[in-house]
Amino acid sequence: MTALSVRDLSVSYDGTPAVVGADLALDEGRVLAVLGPSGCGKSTLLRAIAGLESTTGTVSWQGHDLSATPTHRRGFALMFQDGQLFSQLTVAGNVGYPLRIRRTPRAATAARVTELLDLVGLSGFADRLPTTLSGGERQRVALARALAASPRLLLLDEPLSALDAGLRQRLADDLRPILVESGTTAVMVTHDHEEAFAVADDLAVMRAGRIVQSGPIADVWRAPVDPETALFLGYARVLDGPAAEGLVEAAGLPRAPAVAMRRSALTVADDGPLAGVVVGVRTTPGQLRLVVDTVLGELDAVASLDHRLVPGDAVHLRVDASRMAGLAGRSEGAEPALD
Amino acid sequence: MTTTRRLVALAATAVIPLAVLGIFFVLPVAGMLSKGFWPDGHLDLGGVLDVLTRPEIRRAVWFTVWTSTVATLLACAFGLPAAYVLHRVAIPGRIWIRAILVVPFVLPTVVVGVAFEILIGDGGPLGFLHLDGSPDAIVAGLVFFNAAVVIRVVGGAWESLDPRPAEAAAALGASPHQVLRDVTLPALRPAIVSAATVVFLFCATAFGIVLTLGGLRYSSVETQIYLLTTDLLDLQGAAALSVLQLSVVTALLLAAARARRTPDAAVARSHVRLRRLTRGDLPALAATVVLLLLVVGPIASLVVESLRVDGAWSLANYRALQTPGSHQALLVPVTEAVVNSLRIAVDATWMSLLLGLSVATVVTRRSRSRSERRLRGVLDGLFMLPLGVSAVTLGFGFLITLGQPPLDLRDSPLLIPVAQALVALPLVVRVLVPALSGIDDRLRQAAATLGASPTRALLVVDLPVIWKPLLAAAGFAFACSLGEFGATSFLVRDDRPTLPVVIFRLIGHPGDLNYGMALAGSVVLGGTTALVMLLVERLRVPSVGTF
Repeated sequence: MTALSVRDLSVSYDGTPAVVGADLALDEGRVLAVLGPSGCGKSTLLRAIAGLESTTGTVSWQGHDLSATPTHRRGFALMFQDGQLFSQLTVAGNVGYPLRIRRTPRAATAARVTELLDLVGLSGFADRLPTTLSGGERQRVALARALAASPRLLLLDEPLSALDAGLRQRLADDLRPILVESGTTAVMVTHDHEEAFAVADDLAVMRAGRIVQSGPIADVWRAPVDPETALFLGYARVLDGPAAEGLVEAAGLPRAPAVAMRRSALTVADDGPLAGVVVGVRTTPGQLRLVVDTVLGELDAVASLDHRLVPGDAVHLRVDASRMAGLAGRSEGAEPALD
Repeated sequence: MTTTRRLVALAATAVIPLAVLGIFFVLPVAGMLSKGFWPDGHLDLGGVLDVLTRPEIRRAVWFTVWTSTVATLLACAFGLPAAYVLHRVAIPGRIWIRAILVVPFVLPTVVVGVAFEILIGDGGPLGFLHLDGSPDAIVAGLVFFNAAVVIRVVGGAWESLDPRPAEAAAALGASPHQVLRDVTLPALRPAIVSAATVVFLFCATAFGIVLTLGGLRYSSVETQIYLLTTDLLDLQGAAALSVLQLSVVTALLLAAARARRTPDAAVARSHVRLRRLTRGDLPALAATVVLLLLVVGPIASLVVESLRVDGAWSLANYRALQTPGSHQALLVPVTEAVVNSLRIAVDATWMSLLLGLSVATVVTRRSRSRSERRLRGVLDGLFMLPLGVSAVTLGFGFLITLGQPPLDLRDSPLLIPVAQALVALPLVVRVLVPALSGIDDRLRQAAATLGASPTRALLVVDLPVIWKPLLAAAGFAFACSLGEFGATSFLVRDDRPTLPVVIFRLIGHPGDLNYGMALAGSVVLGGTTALVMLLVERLRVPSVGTF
């Protein structure tokens, strides 16, 4: 059943709207990622759900309106972007804090702390102070502390964005099993679509204070509502006009005025239907990235590394429909994403 | 540059303030002490120790300890909630209430003593409480002064406190009470400890307020020093008490520095949106209102009383300021004393600014070695000492060491300004240090690499940051100097008195007119210092009044 329900929620700072009429619904046990560029109001939305902002509209849990419930009685734990560990407390002290303020017996607290530190992979860190931890370790402690509150809803504010790239990838992969294992319902805010795909079941895309699209992550991915959303979801380019028509036809997709495509939607294959001439080649660790001049204009394509291509080579391209999405709206001034 | 050369350069910058401190602070205080320790030319430690066993001295010490402790606790109890309400909650008139509550900090002690007398004296609005001449009145007076310190110091820290740890705790289920206990108070601890130490220091060395409210029945260490020196000419006793006071003050300053650990509030601060007033804020709001009444009550009754003559409204008391009073109270008209005060205050202001700026520069420049850092730390502490040394000791020391060759300055018009500049110096330094230390040294280096000469770099990098704090410090020094009473009362000549001294003398003389003039003079003095403080507050220098 629907656990969290947000209706027509708005927040403004001194008259400047930060969140406008947001609607969200989340079933128990699922993880929702709110994806949007920085400054789009997604963190404000999260803080509003936690009860840290003054709002109009409603936030309710299993049908109960929480408007009059202060933050500490909502049973929602919020994990901050930079962890916000209490620097005067040890790791165990931090993780045990929500239990202590609920007057949990000492032995039960200690046992739960040990269990949670195991869960986040930090056994043996109990007596360390936060200042002695690395960024990734600190985020793990913050996660354990948030879970210790046994929240009915866990709110994660860009939990991984303060970390460097490799660590972010690893923690993103760890986060999903931890959430699933503990059966936690969660809302995670992020600007990184990879992170959203790694962790979430559902996706809401936010732009300029508004939620522009939401639903199960695969549905949103398959049918972005407009070019901006497509680009933000990680599509490399949005084409319209004759180029879009030609590609949609070549891929066997239903007609659409515009089409979003990943770089890998076009691959070099001798039996491909689309012919062209290579005009640019760049080598990456996994593949060759090409720019190919075709009858539909210049298009992005990839080739496996065993192709030895140089500009001027003639190639044939295969079109992979599963890596493209038809768009209802027209692209207006959409720039290619920096993939 | 080698370490040695840097240390030499450091010493060169510090040499002027050090020389001034040596001649006008260390020498007088040492002279005063030597009078006590070497009464007949040879050391008499036993006699000094004997002083401390005298019953009246022990009473004074005990009285000082308990009144200061209680006043410090009360100042914190009311000042902390007020600091919260005035710096974190959106209430109408916040800026004004804050300005009003901070004014007492520089109000001349004599003025406050007079104001409290009117409020709680026989026939006063609160006369029925029979507080007149009681220790309670002295404690109330001390709280009146020092709540401002707590509000400024803790309020400044609270204002820039990152709200996210508190939100994190709330999101983990901590109630507002638990958040306060577990997150907010621990984060504010350095500021609170620092404020409480300074308040205790001010309470323990308060002079004018104890003298006017305590009379002869209650005396603190400070007033006891005054009595021993001027009335009983018991220099040995005074010296013993001064040493006791000086050691306690030094210990407290060291403890405060240790507890502070975190550096002064720097210029870079997080900006926090104010919260809306909620029902949970009501106790804190109530404490603020009580404090506001404590501050406004005495001042209002002083103003009202100064305008009453023979049961009717009148400006006669103010007109009488052009006369020297009745019963030969004074040698010159009060208006002349006002002019004297202003002239002295101007001199004291530029002196303390000059000294304060060089001290602050020396203290805030980046240290390259441990010994250099330690040296700067020692200098920083050294220039804080006038904060806690009895102004009476200083004034009397001036009298006995600078009144004879080779340094006969008794008739120099600069003697009083120098003494007052030294009293104001710690405040000036504490206003300038956070501002200067907030300037990243790399900005100056960047200016230099772009071709700016050191002077040019100073104009481009330092001046824009420092001019407001400099003005604020000037205001502080000016207000302090206007109200300074302890040291001035020793040094002033009867034909060239300052306003606080005149007021004190008028109170001591019989006659309604003299009393009325004292009230009018107090209003003029208090009004002027308050005006200066309000202007300083308008500058919105974040760190004014942090220690």
